[in-house]
Parts: sequence; structure tokens; C-alpha cells
Amino acid sequence: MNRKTLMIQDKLTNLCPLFSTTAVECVKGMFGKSCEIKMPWEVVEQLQGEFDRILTLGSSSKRFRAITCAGIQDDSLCSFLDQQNVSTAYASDILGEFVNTYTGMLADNDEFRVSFGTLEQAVPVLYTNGHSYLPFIWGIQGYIYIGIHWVYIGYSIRENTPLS
Amino acid sequence: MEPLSEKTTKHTVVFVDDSSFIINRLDRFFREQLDFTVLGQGRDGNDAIALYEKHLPDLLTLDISMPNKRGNDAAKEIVSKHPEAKIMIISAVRGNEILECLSLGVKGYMEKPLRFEDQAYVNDFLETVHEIFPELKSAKG
Repeated sequence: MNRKTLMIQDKLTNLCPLFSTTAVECVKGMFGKSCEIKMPWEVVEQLQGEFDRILTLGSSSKRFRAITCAGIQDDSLCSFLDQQNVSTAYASDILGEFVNTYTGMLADNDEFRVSFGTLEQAVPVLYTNGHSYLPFIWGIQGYIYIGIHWVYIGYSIRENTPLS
Repeated sequence: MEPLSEKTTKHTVVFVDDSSFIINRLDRFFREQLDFTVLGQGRDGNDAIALYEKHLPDLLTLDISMPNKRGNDAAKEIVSKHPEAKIMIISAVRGNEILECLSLGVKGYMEKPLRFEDQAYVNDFLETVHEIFPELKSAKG
């Protein structure tokens, strides 16, 4: 593992509590719902998971590139929104706004900014049936629970190389 | 997307955000809490420019992170042509882009999430709108 990767891994480890508590605040703020963290979030070599729907949002600066993603099963999404069915368009709308807001809240945190600076957010992309692009770079992942239902959240980041 | 068009003596607003979830919440808040008339809704920076030109609303609310054209770029174009434009940024984006918008002449900023269940946030939101339209505050007493 090179020095840059070790540096990022170290920063992510320190920021783990921030990522999980920010997710809880974001759900509470957006939907007025309380949720909980049942298992500690973890730093992983690659974000992993297969979900009915997964939404990714890229962000970047001169120094870093990152992806925030949220994954959810259809039954959880319906329960979460108190609806019988959720169209792909509405799922994209809700998850996109959630990931966008979550990423913005992270970026607003001093601890995050000291570690990674300010990254400009791109436009969210929704994938369905588990088809998603999760790059092989270090990240933080974890779940938030509302009752028995959960949402997966991941954030991976790498430092730009001269060729990237 | 642009469902409404009516001119009244009430203050008027156009919302631009790529999320219909957010637009619906703003629509309800501005109608119920501020008694604004909603003239239109758009989904990106290009819509913002077109809707502003078409309606010349009293207030334009703009998200920053949107497809096709970002809100800060749309604000820049609108303010350069209409220096009197009253634009309020409502976004999850923080930092330099917001400072850049305010330096361009954007009148107000509120952060997402829209915590309309939180009275402190609601008060802050109303105060921001009242700073843009002081007559609303005096009318309310």
C-alpha cells in the first residue's frame, strides 16, 4: 500500500463516526424520521453491496475524487416513504437528493474539510438491480436502520494521480 | 416544467431544483407560511434563466448542484442581465460556491436539508426571506 493510500485510510478511520452521525442527521432533517446505527461503520478496501437501487454521486477537487452512494431494497424504500410503490423516477429523485444533501453536510464539517478540503459535487446517477460502478478504492461504508429497514451508505475517495 | 402563470398583488416566486421532492416542499412552505404566488418550477439552470425571463418573479429560488447548468452559473447570467433580480440559493452545497454566489449579488442562502419540522430552521428561513423583502416583516408586525 502506498503512502497516499495509507494517508486516506487513516483519515477515513478517524472520520468514521462523523460519516455515520451525519447520515442519521440527514435522514432526520430530510424526512423527519429517526434512525439508528446498529453496527459500527467500517473502512473498507472497496465499497461493496448489491441492492435493488443504488445511487452514486461523484465529487472532486484538484486533489481528490470521491463517490458517495446510497443503496436500498425496494421494500425498504417503499416502507421508508410510506408508499405502496415507488417509481424509478421518484426513487432517483429521493435518493439523489438524500445523497446530495448528505455529501453537502459532510463537506460542511470542519473535520472533513481539514482532511479532504472542498469537493465540488456532480449530478447523481441511479442504477437498478445491483448494476453499479463501485471503484476499487478505499472508503467508508455502513447502514442506517429505520425499524427493520435499512439504507446502505458508502463513501470512497482517492487522491488524483498525475494522469487522472 | 412550468404549471402556473398568474400575476397577483402577492409576492411571486419561481422554484428551480432538480428534485421534485424538494420543489413540493418549497411550494407548500411558500404558499402556507409566506403567502407567495408560485409562478413556475424548473429543473436546471437553463430552466432558471428561461423562467426568470418569462415571469420576472419577485423571488427565484435556486439549487446549486443541478444537471445541464449549475445554479451558480445560472445566477451569474441572470444577475448580469437583471441586477435587480432577487435570488435565494437553497442548496446542500456549502463553501466557496455559496460565497461566490453571494458576492455576485444573490440575496440569500438557506442550507438543505429543508428541516421544516424544526422551528429554529423555519425561523431562520423566514428571517432570510424577510431580509430580502423587509416589507413582509413590517406587514406581519
